[in-house]
Amino acid sequence: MIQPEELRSATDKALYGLTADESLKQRILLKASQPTETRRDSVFRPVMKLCAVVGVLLLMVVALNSVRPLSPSTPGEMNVFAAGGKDTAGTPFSQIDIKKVAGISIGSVDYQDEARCAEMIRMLQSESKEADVEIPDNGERIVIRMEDGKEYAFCINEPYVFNDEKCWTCSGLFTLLQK
Amino acid sequence: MSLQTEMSGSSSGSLSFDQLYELYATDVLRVSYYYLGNREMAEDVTQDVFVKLITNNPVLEEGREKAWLLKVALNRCRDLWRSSWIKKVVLGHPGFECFPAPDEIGQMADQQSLAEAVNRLKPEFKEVVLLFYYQGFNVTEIADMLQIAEGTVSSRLSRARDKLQKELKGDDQQ
Repeated sequence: MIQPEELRSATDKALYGLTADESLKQRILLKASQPTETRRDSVFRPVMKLCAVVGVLLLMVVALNSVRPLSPSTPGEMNVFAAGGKDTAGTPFSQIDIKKVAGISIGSVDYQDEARCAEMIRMLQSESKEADVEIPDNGERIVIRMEDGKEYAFCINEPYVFNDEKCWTCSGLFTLLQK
Repeated sequence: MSLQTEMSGSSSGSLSFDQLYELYATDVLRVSYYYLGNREMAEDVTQDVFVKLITNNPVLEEGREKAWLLKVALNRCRDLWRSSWIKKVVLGHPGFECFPAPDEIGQMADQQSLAEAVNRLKPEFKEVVLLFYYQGFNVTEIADMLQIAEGTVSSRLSRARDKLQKELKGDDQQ
């Protein structure tokens, strides 16, 4: 039986045809003649990949923000779930005592009339429905001022689309605000 | 002076690239082939090793050139071995074949058995067997090359030897 000590001679025989020839040498010299590019690749390729990933993430954030704001647009604003009846802090509509409703593009409308405020709440809760398509946030807000001075801003897109967790429509709201 | 001549003449220590290639390229190629079991991959490793020699132009102690070349080759083989691609696509299949001299085909079953048995060893055993029995390095040199303790080299050699003998006995019985 052959022994491991004979590996050198065994290899010389078994791998006789496996030699580093002139063509391999030429390949090496050719490859080595482009060292700058190769080394630059090895350094910059990971950096470029990282930049691409960060770029894609940034684009996604920008795209998402243009469709649906991830946070309130101005300090003090709160996004409210139109149909669910709760704001992001968990305040139900029924507990919001509306003193003023203002639509930015339609001007400010003060509601001192409790009955009309109640109608407003009812509309927000019952008539608003999910929009068929997402509408980019156009900066439109309806601001509801509470008795204690706190203000809640509803994201709203013309015509009548609430843009909170989802986009919502409320068919009678615009008419109500114009009265 | 042309680029090729310039690079062919580049040296690490007292030996030029041409001399180092002439002396050790086949050893690097065969060790890589033992490790990977694939000729193309072994040639790629050999290419990478010598390109590194040219581009990095390391200062090598006299007499240590071969150790450096084999160390770089084994590191590269290890990287390739670890990559899932080579495990699944190449090494998953029995690809090791011998390349005997034309007049010795059919007369070297023992040598072929030994080469195949070495190829089938696990990488950690294969490395020490190749460096000790094939390349003739001693335990201290191997420990230095592989960055492991001398005792580890000795125990791996002993276990590898047992495995080889079992395999070769099995071949004999068949």
